[in-house]
Amino acid sequence: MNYVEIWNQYWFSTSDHYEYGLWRIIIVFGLLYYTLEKWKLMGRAMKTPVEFTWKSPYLKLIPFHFPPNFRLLFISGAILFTMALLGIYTRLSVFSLSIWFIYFFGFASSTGGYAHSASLPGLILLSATFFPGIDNHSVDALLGWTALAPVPQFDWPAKLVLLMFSMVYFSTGVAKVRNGNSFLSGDTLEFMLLGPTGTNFSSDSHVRPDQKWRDGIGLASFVYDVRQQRPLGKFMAQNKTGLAIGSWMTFIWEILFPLSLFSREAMIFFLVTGVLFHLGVYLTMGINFFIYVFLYLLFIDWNFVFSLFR
Amino acid sequence: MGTDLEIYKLLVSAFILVTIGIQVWAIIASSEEFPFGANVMFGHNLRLGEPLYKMTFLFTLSDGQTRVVDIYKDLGAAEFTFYRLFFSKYYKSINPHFSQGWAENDTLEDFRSRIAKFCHLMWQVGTRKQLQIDRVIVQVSELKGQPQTNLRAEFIYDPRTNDLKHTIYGAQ
Repeated sequence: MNYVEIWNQYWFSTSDHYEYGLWRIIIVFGLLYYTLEKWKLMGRAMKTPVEFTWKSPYLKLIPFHFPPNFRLLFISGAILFTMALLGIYTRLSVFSLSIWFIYFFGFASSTGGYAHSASLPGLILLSATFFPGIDNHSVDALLGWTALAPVPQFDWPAKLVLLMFSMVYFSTGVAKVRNGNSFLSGDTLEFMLLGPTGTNFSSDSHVRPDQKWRDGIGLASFVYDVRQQRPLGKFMAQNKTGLAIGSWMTFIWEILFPLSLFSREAMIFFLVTGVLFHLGVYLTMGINFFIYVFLYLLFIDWNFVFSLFR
Repeated sequence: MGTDLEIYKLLVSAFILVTIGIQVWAIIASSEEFPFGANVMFGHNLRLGEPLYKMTFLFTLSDGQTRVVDIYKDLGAAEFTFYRLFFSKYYKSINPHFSQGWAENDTLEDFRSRIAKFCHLMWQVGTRKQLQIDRVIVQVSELKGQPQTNLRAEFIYDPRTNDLKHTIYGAQ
């Protein structure tokens, strides 16, 4: 078999586990809830003077006015979410909504933060433009407006979305050992749970004397702090061995998440433990990545679930 | 149908390759440019007890008074994103793995030029908000248990001459 055949066999095999019309509804509903949850925060970000923004190269590809007009964004967002959810001109509305979403949260990122929890959902929505059967369960299907010839029920969307999740978790794991060993010893977690909060900066333990010419220090990073230092987190931070074990478990789970690509059983294991992981992070640090957990719903075999009720 | 399907497969394959390719590059290069990122987040080397630093922005106004800039009231920006933007895109890190901006082959001239540029933007926005600003000052201090700090470096920008005075105080 040549490479093209292997590629086609991997991405363009078919499966009846997934129903991509339903995926559209789950994704759009999840992103609508996420957007509404962040709306107030985004409203404040939109008031940032343009001098204090920095457009990413990818945002520069979107030819909209920068900074955005908040009222126009609200109206266009309301229209696009409605059209994509109901499936009116489905592919066009899903594509337009993905650009809207990336532009909206991209602006927030351009003010100095980076909306980590928004980037993956935005890319998933963008890829949904091409999903086979995305216009099932839609007004388009009801009225016979589907413009494109139907394509087989390929399972590349499920594989691609799982690969995207894998890359996010894997890269997070890699970053934890790339910058030193403080994460695996539990020191970073202890710092996060008990250390000073606010916008502080740190140097690098390996900083060389010739790197100190700017400030006498060699500043290397701003310090990510947790949203809230919660009582449960503070309690856990009292046990250094427990912190080290928790850190190792987090690292191993993140690094091994790509194994979920190779079997359905592995995928179920990693998604179930992923729910516990995100719940644990929220309860101890107040960091909310529930949009990821919501998107795990995509991997439920809904055809099987519905068959139980027939 | 056969041809349509081939075109569909080609388009989808191109989309997968581009999306995944950019994401792989972001991870290898440890870069974060929305929506593609290395997701470093809590992957920084941090320990309790190791020194931390803070930055303070000040304005010297035309009446001679020097005061701390209220980032939100004076400049209309959120404080935590303002500090992060300044550090990531202007000050920049010495660590190549800092995903939001590091200065490769940085020189004193380039560094001072970036700081002066940011101070100029602060002056520009502050002036638009009716402040009479004579100097923009950035201080880098070691945090020694709030609110005590030890000044380590200071940048004083004169918007009229575009001149930046850069002083390092060293450990105290």
